[in-house]
Amino acid sequence: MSSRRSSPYAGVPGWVVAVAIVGASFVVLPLVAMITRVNWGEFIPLITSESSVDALWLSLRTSLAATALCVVLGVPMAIVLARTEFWGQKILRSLVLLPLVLPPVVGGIALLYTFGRRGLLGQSFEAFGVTIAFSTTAVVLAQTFVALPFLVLSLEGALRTVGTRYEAVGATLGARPTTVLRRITLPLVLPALISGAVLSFARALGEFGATLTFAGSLQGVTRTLPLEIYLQRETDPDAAVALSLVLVVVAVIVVAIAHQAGERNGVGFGRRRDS
Amino acid sequence: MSLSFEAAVRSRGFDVELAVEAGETVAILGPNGAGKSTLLTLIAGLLTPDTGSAQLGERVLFDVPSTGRGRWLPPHRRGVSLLAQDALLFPHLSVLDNVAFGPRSTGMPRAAALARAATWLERVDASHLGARRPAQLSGGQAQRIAVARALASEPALLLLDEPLAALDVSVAPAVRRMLRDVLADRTAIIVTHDVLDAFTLADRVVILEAGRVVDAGATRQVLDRPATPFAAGLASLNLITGTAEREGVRSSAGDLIGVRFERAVAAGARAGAAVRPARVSVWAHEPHALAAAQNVLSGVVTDLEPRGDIVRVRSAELAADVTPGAVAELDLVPGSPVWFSFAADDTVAYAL
Repeated sequence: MSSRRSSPYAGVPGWVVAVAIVGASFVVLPLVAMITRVNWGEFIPLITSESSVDALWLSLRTSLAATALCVVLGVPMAIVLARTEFWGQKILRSLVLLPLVLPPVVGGIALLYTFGRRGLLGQSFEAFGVTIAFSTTAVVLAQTFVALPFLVLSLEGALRTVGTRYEAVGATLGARPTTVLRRITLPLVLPALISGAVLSFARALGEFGATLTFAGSLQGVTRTLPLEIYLQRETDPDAAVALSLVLVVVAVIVVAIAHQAGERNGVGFGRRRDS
Repeated sequence: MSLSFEAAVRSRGFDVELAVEAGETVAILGPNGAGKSTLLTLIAGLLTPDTGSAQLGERVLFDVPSTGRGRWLPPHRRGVSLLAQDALLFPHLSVLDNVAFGPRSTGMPRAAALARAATWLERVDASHLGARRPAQLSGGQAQRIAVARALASEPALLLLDEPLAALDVSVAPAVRRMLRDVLADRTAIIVTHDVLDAFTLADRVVILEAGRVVDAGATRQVLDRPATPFAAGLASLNLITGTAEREGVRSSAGDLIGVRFERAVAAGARAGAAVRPARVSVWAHEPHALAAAQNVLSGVVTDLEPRGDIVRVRSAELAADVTPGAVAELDLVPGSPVWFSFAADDTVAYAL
């Protein structure tokens, strides 16, 4: 007889476990397949070639800038969505979260008609001699566009979970709304803010469609890592695989950080009863 | 500072007028849903009334006329602290920082705020807990610190919403004693379910029912001479209401109840008659040959409630405290027809 760890009875049917294993394999197997094709002998030279380093460096810079922009814009958005009531709020929330489900290339086209040379706002920018489309700024805007909903969504949920009771206590103690926000609300949702920012960073790092459409593919200016991988795949498959592995490693790290922050989320809010 | 308050919230059927003198503690009693918490949230500024006005000292808290724009002061500028049933200490701050939160928020320098917090922790016997996190406190400790935090902001008015309800019976008395000390000479309103809180902490009680004030006065006066079934229940008294006659009180059911009038009540005026359940006897058959000054009423047992070494026998109109032996002897079960008797001398009548 095999020894089993004692655990509460779960009652999961065997066939559910079987399908779950198939599903997990479906996710893991392609990664394994890719790793088997890595040319380990050339790995370091491949990921340190000039175009690779340019792409990696650009990706990190733009993704960090996009994450910062997501935090600056997303925190007020989440607060307004979670804490206020106004006409059309539900519709606004759906629209704000639209980039989650929109094909990124559609987002790219939309951005082009907003910030492009002949775009809605782009024409005005052009008058001041500022061109946004096909610049590094465009990369950051494209990444922010697709990543913003991740931050808003996770933060809004956390704000609703924490509730307004602590904030009400703060107000009756004489704290102005800004003080309440700084000293109570934000510390309480900090874990969700961190995990939301990390998810936004990951989404920005993987951005492809909107970037290509709105920013193009200029080495060192707008050609981020995913674009570089896509281009290399045609000319140098070994380089594409090596860079892909780099992205996989970054993704794993990001997921681990987000998970850690998520674990901390909610801890410490409960009040112990008399002991 | 004194408070004058009158406000209506239509959606909650709330319409209350209330005045609290400077230095006075008023207890608000009432059944669930009577509007007790609504009253506190209106005063604290967490809810806006449809109409009404309130003033705390010289400060206008709100002034909302039925037409046109009114004035409304946000919660942080009211000088009103609210202490809830749950301590709601900020989980990310230490105990000392929690207490210092109020002073700091009103612009006091950090060192001065911490010094004041330390003073208040001492007042509530919690100096040794200053470095702890709220998660490391027991319920009684947390509530003490919540009191210190509420008072450290030096509110002109302190609101307490059932501050002892969430506490274990073993720690509630100590916190109640502490509250009695800090509430002395402080303007405060305390919402409670517990008549002991009203007696210990309040100078005056106000009874709310269905969003209206139904009775108000000195604590002992209201609870010894209840005007409503709710107040009578709180005070554990039987209340019979009716009209005064020369020989007694004619109850709404038509029985003439022999009573002892506390003060002369004009015949025909509405009157209440109160009798303690302990002074009521229960009979299985209609009692005869009782002294003349005994009231006898029939009823049907609705409920038998064990209370320590006695059992409270309830009918729709009356309650009587009898021994478990008597319950067995009379073979009482819900549905049993019974007779209640009580002496006119034990029945105090007063004008309503």
